[in-house]
Amino acid sequence: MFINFLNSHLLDTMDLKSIFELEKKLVFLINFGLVLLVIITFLFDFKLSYFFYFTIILTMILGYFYFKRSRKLSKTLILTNMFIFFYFLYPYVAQFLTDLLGSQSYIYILFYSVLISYIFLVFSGQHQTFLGNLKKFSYKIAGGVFLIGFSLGFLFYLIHEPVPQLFIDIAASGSFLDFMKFIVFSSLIIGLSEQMIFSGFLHNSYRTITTRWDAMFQVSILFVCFHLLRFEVLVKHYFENFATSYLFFITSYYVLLFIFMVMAQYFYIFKSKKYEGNFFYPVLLHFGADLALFFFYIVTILFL
Amino acid sequence: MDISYQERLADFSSALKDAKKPFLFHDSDADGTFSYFQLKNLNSKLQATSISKTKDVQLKAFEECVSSDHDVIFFFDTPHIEEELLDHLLGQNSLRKIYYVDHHTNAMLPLVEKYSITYFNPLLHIDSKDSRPSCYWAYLISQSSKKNLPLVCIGSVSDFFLLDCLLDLYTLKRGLFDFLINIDDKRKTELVDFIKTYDFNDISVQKKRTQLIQMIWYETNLGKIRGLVDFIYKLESEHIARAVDIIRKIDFNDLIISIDAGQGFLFEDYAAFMKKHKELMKKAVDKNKTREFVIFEHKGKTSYNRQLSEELLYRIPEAKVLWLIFTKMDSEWYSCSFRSRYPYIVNKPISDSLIGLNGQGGGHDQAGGCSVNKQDFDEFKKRFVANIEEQLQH
Repeated sequence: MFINFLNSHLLDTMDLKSIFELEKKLVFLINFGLVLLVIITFLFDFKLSYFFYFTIILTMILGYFYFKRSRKLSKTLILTNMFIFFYFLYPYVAQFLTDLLGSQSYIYILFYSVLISYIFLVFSGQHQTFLGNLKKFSYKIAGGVFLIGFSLGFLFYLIHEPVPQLFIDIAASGSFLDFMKFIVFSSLIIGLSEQMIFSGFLHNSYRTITTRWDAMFQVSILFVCFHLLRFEVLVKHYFENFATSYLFFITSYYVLLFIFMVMAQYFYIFKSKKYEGNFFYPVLLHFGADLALFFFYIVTILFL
Repeated sequence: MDISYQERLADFSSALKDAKKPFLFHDSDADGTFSYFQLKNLNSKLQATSISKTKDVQLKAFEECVSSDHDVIFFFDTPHIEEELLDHLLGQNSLRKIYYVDHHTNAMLPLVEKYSITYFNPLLHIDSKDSRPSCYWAYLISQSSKKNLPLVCIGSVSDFFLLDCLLDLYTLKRGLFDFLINIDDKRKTELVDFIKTYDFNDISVQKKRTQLIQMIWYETNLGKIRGLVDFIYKLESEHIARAVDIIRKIDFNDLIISIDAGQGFLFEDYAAFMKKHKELMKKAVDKNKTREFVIFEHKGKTSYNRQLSEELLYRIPEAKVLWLIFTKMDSEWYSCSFRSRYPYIVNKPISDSLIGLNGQGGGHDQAGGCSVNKQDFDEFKKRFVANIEEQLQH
């Protein structure tokens, strides 16, 4: 009996405790808090500059304390905080590009997301590896991932996720073929830009300090959190269309988003003897989902 | 007139410090690796490569790494040097000097004399019972630099020694000691008291010493680092230098974070290796919980024999003799690793059981290994099991 107890105790100790668990979790929690703060700033029309001052001061102070514990932790904290800082400069960047080029386009923001994610990937030293092992790429898996994404997009359609007015305007004004070209291009660039942020930069940053599963869940939570930016639009949309059941739709939307990103992350990191995840799988998943959502939404509006 | 060992080590020290382009061959284990790190701290121009006992490996290392302008060559912790390698080294540059530190046996003495190598071995120059590891001598050669203190501690514990340097680390760098040996205060005090009380080679407390070292190996951050360094030499040869360089440059906190995260070059492979190791370990423990004689077999691409046999001695306290068997897919050979607890011995049963069979092996009293052809394996097994059972009955 005692020997059995001893053996089971010894086996329990086989998994050695990780170090700096609190500090590692805090990196994510601080990022999470900053994203929430910036969203509150947007939702309540507070001055964005306060958020920027706060982020810089907080990062400098915490970065110093983290540096005393571990350079790796400190670097991850500073990079992720600064990424959030620069990402949310997008309204100013979009305005600047609009003034510069004389026209307005949502592409500016998407382009800015890709650029800034790549720059931060370079700072984190992971720009050469974030694509994954492409030697273990499989077209069959890629096709499967696209179909799963497309099905998820259909689910988003079923819960009536609102589509930007721009898409409806283009669908109404041009030919069906032009519209199809537009949604294929848009879905692709949205998928690419969002996956550059989440699978590219954030996942790889968290991976340097934590396990792949922790990184997967943390990134998925942040993905949901970023989409709180749409909260006001969603409430308005669902309340106008579904009155009392609007809470059900909003909750379903965010739960589905979380599931979507968990799946995207899984396709990024999975490993089997023959195949491995890579960056293009989550992009394809995202592409499939957005394509399905836009397609079914507009088809419904135009033809039904 | 013979010189003292301190003077001998001082010779090594000045040779390394004064060298314009020194080169080091070290053993492919933690002792050799941590010797290199310490010597590099003494002379940053030092270049190094790991070698094994195999002739091909040694000659390949020479061809790929050593150039004629390497003015001083060091060997650390390498129990066997091929004569051909020495010929090549002196043929390439007859003016270069060769220095050699080892703690295994004095079997290389004839070659040392023939090639006028400056040699240090504690077994020869201090006491025939003093086999303190090479990293300890590297520590003295590097003039007991404080920077090297954690390195000598990791290297020596990895080589199964509890030396006074651990007490120095405890006194001078308490925070680092607590980080590397992250166990509860009671066990920490027990460890420190043990080192204070007993000489490093006091055989009367060998059992307790073994328990303490195994505790460090399998329950602390120091053990994690040891495991990683051990793993490096399982990598493909072209990746070893890069992996060694990563460990040398990274600080201990970041190293442990990287091991835990298991991401990127080296750490990802190590995480996969450890995952498989844990699965096999659990299987082996579950199957053999109360057995005195443990036999465990596994197949695959990579052998886990040595790591499993070392750790199973800790995980199965009742086990007196362990026999780990590994075979590669489609191979004609079984490779075996053996461990035992004092007074049970494995080397003689191995060599006795191999007589007349297609196989080779041997080792120390409590640790050995062999390879046996599949055709003769059943006969070998019958003989070896009979021999061990006879020992266990007595």
